[in-house]
Amino acid sequence: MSDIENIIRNCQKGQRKAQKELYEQFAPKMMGVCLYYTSDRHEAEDVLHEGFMRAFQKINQLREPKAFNGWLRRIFVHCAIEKHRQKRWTYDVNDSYAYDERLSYEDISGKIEEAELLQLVHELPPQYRLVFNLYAIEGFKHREIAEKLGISAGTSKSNLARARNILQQKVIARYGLNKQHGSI
Amino acid sequence: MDPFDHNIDRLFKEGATDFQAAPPSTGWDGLAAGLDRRQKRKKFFWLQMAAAFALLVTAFGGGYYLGQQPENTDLNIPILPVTPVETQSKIQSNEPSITSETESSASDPVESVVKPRNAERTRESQASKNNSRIEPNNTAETPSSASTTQNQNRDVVHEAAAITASSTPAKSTETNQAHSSEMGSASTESIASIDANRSDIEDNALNKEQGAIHDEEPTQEIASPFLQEAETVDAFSNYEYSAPDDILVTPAAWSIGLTAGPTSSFRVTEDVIYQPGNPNGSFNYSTEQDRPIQSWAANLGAHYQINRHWVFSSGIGYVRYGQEAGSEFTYTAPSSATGNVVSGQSSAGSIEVTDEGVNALIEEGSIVTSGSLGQISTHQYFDFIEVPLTTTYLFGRGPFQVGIEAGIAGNFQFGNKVVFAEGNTETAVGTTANTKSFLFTALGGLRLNYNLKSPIAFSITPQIRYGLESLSQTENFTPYSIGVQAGISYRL
Repeated sequence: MSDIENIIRNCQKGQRKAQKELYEQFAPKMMGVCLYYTSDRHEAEDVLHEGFMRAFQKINQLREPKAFNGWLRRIFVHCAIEKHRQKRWTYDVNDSYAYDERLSYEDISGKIEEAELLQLVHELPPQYRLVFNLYAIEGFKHREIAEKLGISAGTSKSNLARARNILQQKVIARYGLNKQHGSI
Repeated sequence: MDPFDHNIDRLFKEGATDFQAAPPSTGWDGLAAGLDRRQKRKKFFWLQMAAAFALLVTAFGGGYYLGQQPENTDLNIPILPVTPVETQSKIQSNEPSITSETESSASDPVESVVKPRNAERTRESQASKNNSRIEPNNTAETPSSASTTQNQNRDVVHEAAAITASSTPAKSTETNQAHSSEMGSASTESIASIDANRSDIEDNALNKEQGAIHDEEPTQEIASPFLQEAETVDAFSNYEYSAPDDILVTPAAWSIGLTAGPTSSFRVTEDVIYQPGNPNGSFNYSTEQDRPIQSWAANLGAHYQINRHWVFSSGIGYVRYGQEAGSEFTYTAPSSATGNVVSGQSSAGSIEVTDEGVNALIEEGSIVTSGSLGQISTHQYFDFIEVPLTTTYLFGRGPFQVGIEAGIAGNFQFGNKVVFAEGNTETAVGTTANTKSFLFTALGGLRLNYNLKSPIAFSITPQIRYGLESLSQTENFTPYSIGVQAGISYRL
C-alpha cells in the first residue's frame, strides 16, 4: 500500500495526524484549483477551507484510493461552483470582445508563465471564467455545465465562445503575438 | 471543434493542471479548528435529539399513564365502627346463593373495624373471598370448641354451596330463617345447621364471658367496604365522608388560549463578509460582534388538561428568529468602486442583496463610492409559522400553579429578510440564500398559571426555542431564542 493510500485509510478512521498530512500534501495543488475558479485569493482560501472540510467529511465514501486525485479535485470544483452560485454575480456583457484573430498553439506555448495564464483567466467575467474552466480544463460537456450552473446549454456555449475570444484578445494584446502559421 | 478553440483550451488546460500555489499559512490551523467544531456539533446534535426524544417519551408516556389512573386512590378514610354482628347464619336452599360462614362464627360479636380503603386491601379481600370459596374448610379453623355435629353441619353447608363466606350479610338468624321459609326449600339439614350454629354462637358468647377463648378483643376487618355490600350498609350508615378538595376539581377539560410576548433570538455567528459585485470595487469588511435580535412570538393554542397535573397543547403561532451581524460594520471603498451588486456570506448562509436594496442604500448615503462609513449593522430575519406540540406538568393547587413545559414544533418559513440598520432606521437590502423552508425546533420552559376568575386564567410562559437542525442548507446555523409570553386562556 502506497503512502497516500495509507494516509487516506487513516483519514477514513478520522485520524487528525493523517488529515494534516493529506492537507500538507494536497493543499498547494488545490489552492491552484481554487485560484482558477475564484476572483481573488481571499475567496480562494475560503473555497480551499470548505473543500477540505467537505473532503474529510466525505472521505469515507471514497472506495478506491487510487482515484483520490480526481475525486478531490471534483470536490473543490464543486465547492467553487457553489460559491459562484451563492454570490450570483452579475455583470455586463460587452460584445465588443468579439474577435476573429486566431493564434496557434506554438505561438503561445512556452511564452506565457502559469501565473500569467491565471491572471488572464481572472480577468474574465466570473461566469465566463467558470464555463471556460469547466469546459476546457475539467472536460465537462455543455449539458453538464448547464446543469451545474443553472443555465441553458446554449448559454454555456455562448459564454465559452466569448471567454475564448476575450482570452485570445488579451494574449495578443499583452504578448504582442500575431496571427501566424495559418493554423486555423 | 475549431482548431483555435482547441489551442487556447489546451494552453490553459496544461497551465492549470499542474498549477500550484501556496496555501494560507494558517490554513491547517483553521481547518483543524473547523473539524473540531463540526465534531462537537455532531455529538451535540445527537445529544440534543436523544434528550428531546427522551423528554417527549417521558412526558407523553407519563401523561398517558397518569391519565389512566383514578384521580385519587388514597382517600384516607378513617377507621369506622361497624354495627356489631349479633349472629351468624347459614342459609341453604335448593339453589343456594348465600352462605354465612365467617371467622366471627367462632368469635365474639364485638365491634368490628373498617380499615382504610386502598387497592391492596381490596386485593386481600378478594383473595380472602376466593380462598373461602375454594377451601371452605379454612373456615373451620375456628378456635371454638364446636362439636362434631356442628362441623358436620358446616361441611354439609359447604358442599351445598359455599360462595361468599366473608361477604355474608349481617342478618339475624331469624331473618334468614324467615327467608328460608319464604323460599320453601329449607331442608332438615339446613335447619339443623342453623340450630347448631346458633348453639355455637351461644357457646362462644359464654366462653368469652369466661375469658376462655380470646385474650384480646378480636376485630373484624372489612377490607373493601365498597365491594361488600352488606358491610357497606352497616359500616357507612353513620359515616360522613368528606372528599379532599382536589378530587372534585380539574376534570379533563379543553381550553383555548392566546399568548404573545417578546423574544430575543440570537446565534453567535462567524464573521460576516461582504464583497462588491463589481471586480473594480473593493469594499471587503468583516465583523465579529453579534447581538440578539429583539423580536416577538405569539401563539393561539388549544389545551387539553387530562387531570390536575398534565396538560397537552397544540396550536399555531408566529416566531421570528434572526441574528445581528456586524455591530461594528465599517465600509471603505475606493473611488473606483462602482459596483451595484453586493453579496455577503454569513453563518446563516449567503446574503443576497438586491439591486433595489443597494439603490436604497445609495440614496440614503449608506453606501458611497468613496470614503468610509461606520456603524452599520446587518440584521437577518427569519419569520416562521410555528405549530407546537407540548406537554406541561403543573404543580400546586388553588388558583396559582407552576408548571414545566416541553415539546417540539414544526416551523414553516414565510419570511426572509436582510436589513442594514443604522440606529433605529432599517433598510431592507435582500435575503439570505439557501435557507430551509421547514425546520424542527424544541420548546422548553416554565408555565405560571393564575385562575383570574373561572373559566378565565392568566399565564406567563418563559420559554426557550432551539432549532433541532440547521436553518441553512449550506451552513451550520442553528437558531434559537429566549422569550417570555403572556396570555389568557378560556376553559370550555
